[in-house]
Amino acid sequence: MSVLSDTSSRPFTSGPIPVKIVVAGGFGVGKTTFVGAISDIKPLTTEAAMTTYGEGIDNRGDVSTKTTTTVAMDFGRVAVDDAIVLYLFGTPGQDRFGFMWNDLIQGALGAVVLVDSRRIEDSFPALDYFESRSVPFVVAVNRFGGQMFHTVDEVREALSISTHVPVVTTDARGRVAVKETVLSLLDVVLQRALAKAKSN
Amino acid sequence: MTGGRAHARGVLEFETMLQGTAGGREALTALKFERAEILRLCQTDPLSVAELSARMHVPIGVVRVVAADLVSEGMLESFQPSANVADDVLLITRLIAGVRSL
Repeated sequence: MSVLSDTSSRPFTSGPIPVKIVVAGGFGVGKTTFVGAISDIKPLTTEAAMTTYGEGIDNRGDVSTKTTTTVAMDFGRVAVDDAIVLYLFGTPGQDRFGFMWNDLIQGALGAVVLVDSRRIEDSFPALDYFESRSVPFVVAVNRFGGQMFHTVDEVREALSISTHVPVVTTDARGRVAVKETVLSLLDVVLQRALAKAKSN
Repeated sequence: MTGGRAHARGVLEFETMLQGTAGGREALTALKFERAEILRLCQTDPLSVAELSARMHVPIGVVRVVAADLVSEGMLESFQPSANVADDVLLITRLIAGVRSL
C-alpha cells in the first residue's frame, strides 16, 4: 500500500462524479425556484464574469459590443447516488443581451429552457443560444402552479422550436414536476449518446 | 464509466469537486488567505468550485485559478467527469436511474 494513499478518510471509494445541467430562460421565469425545488441545499449564489455581446434591442449602432460584466448566478446540488452529484446552474437574468456562456456550458450535459407563457419571447435568446451550439435541451413552460396563457403547441410555434426538441410543462415550485423535467432532458441526452455510439 | 481525477493542471469547471489531500492538510498552517480557506473548506467533504466561490464570497474566476494551483501543488485532489461526459451512455443511464428514485 502506497504511503501516499489516504482513502480511509474519503467518503467515496472512487471519488465523486460531478455533472451539471443549465437552467436558462428570461428574467423572472423561475430559474432559481426550479433549482431550489430539487436541490439538497438552499440555492447558493456565486459571482462570475461573463462576456456579453450587445445586440438586438440595445444595439447602439456598433456591429459587436463586447463587454465583460460580473453577474450573479444561482445554483443547487443533488446527491444522485453514492458518487454522482448533479449541479444545476441557473443562468444570469440579463437576457436582453446576446450572451456568451461558454464557461458555464463547458462540460454541461444539457439545458432546460424555462418559458413564462405570458412572456414567451423572453426565452428566445436562451433557446437560440443552445440551438446554435448543438447543446441538448428541452423547453419547459412554467405553469407557476396555475394557468397557462398559451398551449405547448402555441409556444412551440411562437418560438419556432424544432420537432426534435421536447416542449413540456412544468411547475418550478414542485419537486415532482421539476424532477420530471430534468428526466425529460436526460432522456434527450441519452438518446443522443446512444445514436452517437451506434454511428461510431 | 468515466469520472475520477481531472488533469493535474488545467481549467477547473464550475462543478469540479475538490478535496484536500494529506499534503494539503500538512501545509495548511503555512498558507494564507484564499489558499488556506479553500483547503479548510474542502478538508472533510469534497466541494465544487462554485460552492467554494459562494461560501467564500469570492468570484468564481478567482477560486478557479487559486484552486488550480493547489491541485498542481498536490494539496487538492480534483474530480470531474471526462470532457465527453455527454457521450457516456453508462453514466447517463446511471444518472437517470438515480434522478428517478429521488
